Parts: sequence; structure tokens; C-alpha cells
Amino acid sequence: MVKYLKHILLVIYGVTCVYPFLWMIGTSLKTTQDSLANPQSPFPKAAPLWSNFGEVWSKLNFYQFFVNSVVVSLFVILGVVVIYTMMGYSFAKFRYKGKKIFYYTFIALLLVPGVTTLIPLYINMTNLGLQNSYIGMILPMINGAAPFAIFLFTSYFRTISHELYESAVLDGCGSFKIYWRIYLPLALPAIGTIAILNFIGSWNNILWPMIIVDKQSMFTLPMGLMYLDSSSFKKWNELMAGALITVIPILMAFPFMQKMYVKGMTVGSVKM
Amino acid sequence: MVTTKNKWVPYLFLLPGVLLFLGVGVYSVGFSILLSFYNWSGIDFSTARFEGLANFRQFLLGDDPIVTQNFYKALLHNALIAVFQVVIVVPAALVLAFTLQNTKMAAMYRTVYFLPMIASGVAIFYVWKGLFEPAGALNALFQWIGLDFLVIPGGMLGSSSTSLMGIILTTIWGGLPGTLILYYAGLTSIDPTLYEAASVDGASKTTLIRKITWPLLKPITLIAVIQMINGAFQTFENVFIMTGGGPGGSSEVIGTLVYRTAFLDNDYGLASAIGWVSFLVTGVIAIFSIRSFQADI
Repeated sequence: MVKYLKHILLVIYGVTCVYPFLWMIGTSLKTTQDSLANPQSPFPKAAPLWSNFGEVWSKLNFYQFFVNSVVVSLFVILGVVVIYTMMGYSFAKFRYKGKKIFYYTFIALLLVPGVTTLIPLYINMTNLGLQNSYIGMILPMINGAAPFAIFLFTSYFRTISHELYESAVLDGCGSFKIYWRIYLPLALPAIGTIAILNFIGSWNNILWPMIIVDKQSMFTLPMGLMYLDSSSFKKWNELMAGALITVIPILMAFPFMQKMYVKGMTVGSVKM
Repeated sequence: MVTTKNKWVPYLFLLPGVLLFLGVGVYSVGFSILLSFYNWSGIDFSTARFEGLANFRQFLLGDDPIVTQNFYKALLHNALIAVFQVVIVVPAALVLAFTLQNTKMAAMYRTVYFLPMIASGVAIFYVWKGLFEPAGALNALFQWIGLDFLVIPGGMLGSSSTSLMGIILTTIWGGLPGTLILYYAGLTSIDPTLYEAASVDGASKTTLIRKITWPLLKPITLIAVIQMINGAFQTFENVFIMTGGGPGGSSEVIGTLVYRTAFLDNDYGLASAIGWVSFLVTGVIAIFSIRSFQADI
């Protein structure tokens, strides 16, 4: 009896997790009239209308938004991994003056709410002529990812045996070569965690792109959705087709995500 | 830990990150502190007027009653989101994690539960907006199971008495899985022989939980709670997408208030001042989170 109750509880929670996705998929396949007349139902009344996706993808320019999102996310990930593994390596391996100050200054950044610095950041980037550009979108996102990435990479590099470093020095390796050839490959699990977290973060980011970009050809996917939502006659079927296009790449990262999330989060909890 | 022969080497590794921080971070943080003492509507900074603490008095002390009211209301909404989230998510995640433990098909359930956590973003907020519509799935569900008093004619997000509740519901939906999965990972990492050995020694079930399970779950709880509170005070996207802070400011949070003040009312100074005060308010939480980020350097 208890066994069944257990499963009933787990299934009910599972349904609440999945239902919004079902509704999104179902609505994306409805006709416009159907989506307005039967908004409560996740099932299309008529045969699934696949052409919604074609409409959103080509006519409403979602292919362009998709490309923009991919470019932004890729370079954010690349920048975060390269820049902050270097910092983590420096914090973890060397003894030098001012290290603690550097470390905690960067970690403290984490606590400044995003909207607080939005205004000057916007003015700053506009002065540099970076509005409506990929670089203008990418750089602040990399900087925003700094605290957690530095923390995780530093902690991870600390766990790698120091003897490895010493034997490499004896073999005549310089500190950069040791970083590049030994420590970076060993840090792949941590790099995976940070890459996926930042992929999701930058893919979903709307606040910053919305402010620095106003040209439609530079929109990212979330901005594309906002654009669909703001049109005078809202078509839920097209909005949901766009939402599905936005969510699918994230769902593809899903299999890698589970283990890495737990790993990444528990590195912190060991310390407390 | 080593001292390098060339003492600049460690700094060279810091260089790219520091340069980016100087170019993007420091300037913005510094300028936004400065701005909070000015009256400025944008474009050319030579038109800005130094006003000392006027911005702060305007929204903190009631120099402008409407702005003051908006500010405290938004702050209260942030706090409510934090409180409801913690109070509901922690017990719910614990119960689900204990239930999930030793259940057949746990891996399958866990995969399903993970979905909201990674997908919760702009796209999903539009889905919720659709589900909360007056004729949407939520109202239909309540009607169907006969809980007519829960049916909100204007839709949950459309009426000022329930819009914040809608926001909280979606926050919980996106936040519960993360905590649940951390608890589950913690529970399954406990060596079962520990319990056996303790029971053999005559420990009661409550002792087992108090002495073995809880010490392990405590740090996880702390991290989860800090994350939730921190997240609640940085709420922006879901409110912005689903209600825009309305109707009538009923779901306004600090994030949307700052955004509106800066980019719609063009009052950059006031917006910066509000942003920094909210930063100080979260300062207490901030100190706790810094502690959890202490690395052994």
C-alpha cells in the first residue's frame, strides 16, 4: 500500500514537471483558431500543423535568431573556459602577493545584482560602439560568469596532485606548458560543468541582449520570442513553436547535465 | 603551492580576466555608484546634476511617496518570493528525495524531475503565461476537479491579488528540482553499512536520522537556501515576461522596478540608487554566500 502511495506521489510530481512541455508541444501544432478557442487543451483539434515551425523558422526569421544565439553562447563558453581556467590555475598553484584580494574581489562580483550595473554597462558599451554587435553581447556575459567559474576551477585545480606539477618542472616544462598540456586536460569534468551552466545561462539570457541590441537581425532566440509576444495579434501556436525551437538545444544538453550539476554544486558544500 | 622564478608569471595568468573586469566590471560598478548621487536622464553626462542623497531620500524616506511605496512594495515581493520558496521547496524536496530513495525506477523519475530545472527560462515563462490565461489549463483543471473557488476569472496573472502567487508558483516549479536532486545525491551517498552498524549498536530510528542523515543534509540545505534567497532577490526574467510587474504593480520586484525606472522613465540616478540599496539589503545573505565560496588558496 505504502509502495503505491509512493509511486502516486512521484507520478503526480512528474506530471507537473512534464505538463508545461506537453502543452508547449501541443499548442505549437494547433491552428491559430484552435489555440485561441481551446487554450486549456494540450492536444490539437485537427491534424498537427507542422507548418507552424516553417512559418516561425523562415518567415519570422528564427533561423537568424538561432544563429545569433549559437554564436553568442559558443563564444561565451569559450571565453569563460579559457580566461577562468587560467585564473583558477594561478590561484591554485602559485604563491604571490595580493592573491587573496584578487580572488575575493572577483567572488564578490557574484553578489551585485545584474540590474544594478546595467545602466553604466549600457553606457560603457555604447561609448565603445558595441551596441548591436556580438562582442557587445558576449563580453559582459563572460565577465558575469567570472565568480562561479573562478571558484570552481580554483577548487578543482587544488584537488590535482601537486607532485604532477613538480615532476613536470623536473622534465623542463614551463608553467604555461604545464597549464596547457597537463592541468587543462585534467580539468575536463569541471570544464564540462562550467560549459553547460554557461550554455544554459547565455542561451536564456534576455536582460542584457535586450538592452544592447535593438536591430532585429541581431536578436537572439529569447528576444525573438518577445518580439512574437509583442505583436498586436498574438498567435499562441507560433509563440509556442518558437519556444520549442528555443528549448530544444537545451534539452539536448540534458544527458550531460545531471551528473555535472550535482558534482559542481557539491564541490562547494564540502567546504562548509 | 609554488613561488615561480619569474614573479610576474602568476599575474600573467590573471591578466585576461582582470582586463575584462577593468573594461566591463569596474567601470560599471564605479560609475553606477557615482550615478546614484546624480539626477540624470541619459545621453550626455554633462547634463547630470549632483544631488547628494536626494535619490536615496526620494525612495527610502518618502520624499516622493509614490516612489517610496513602489520600492517597499517591490522589496516585500522579493522577500515573499524568497520566504515562500524556501518554506515550500525545502520540505517538499526532502519528502520527494526520501520517497525517491530506494524506489524502483528512481533514475527515470529523476530524469523527468530534472526537466524544469534546465529548461526554466524565457521560453518556459511564455508557456506559464499561456497556462495561467483566463481560459487556460490551470483554471480548467480547478473547474474540472470541482475546486471552483480556485478558479480566477481574470487568470492568475491577470488579477492583482494573485499575480505574485503565479510568479511564486513558477519559481517553485523551476527551483524545486535542483534542491531535490542535491538532497537525493546526498541521501544516496550515505554508506548503508553506517545505518546497519548503528542499528546493531542499538540506535533508534530518530537517532539514525539525527546523527547520520541530518549532518549530511545540513550543508546541502544551507547551500540550497542561500541560493534560493539570492535568486529571489535577483528575480527579473519571469516577472518581466509574465506580468511586467503588473497588474498595478502587484507583482513588481526590485529588478523590474530598476529596469522601469532606468529604461522607461529614464531616471538613471534614481534607478542606480535603488539598485545599490537592494544590494545592501541582500548584503547579509551575501556574507553567507561568500563563506560558501571560500576556496583553499
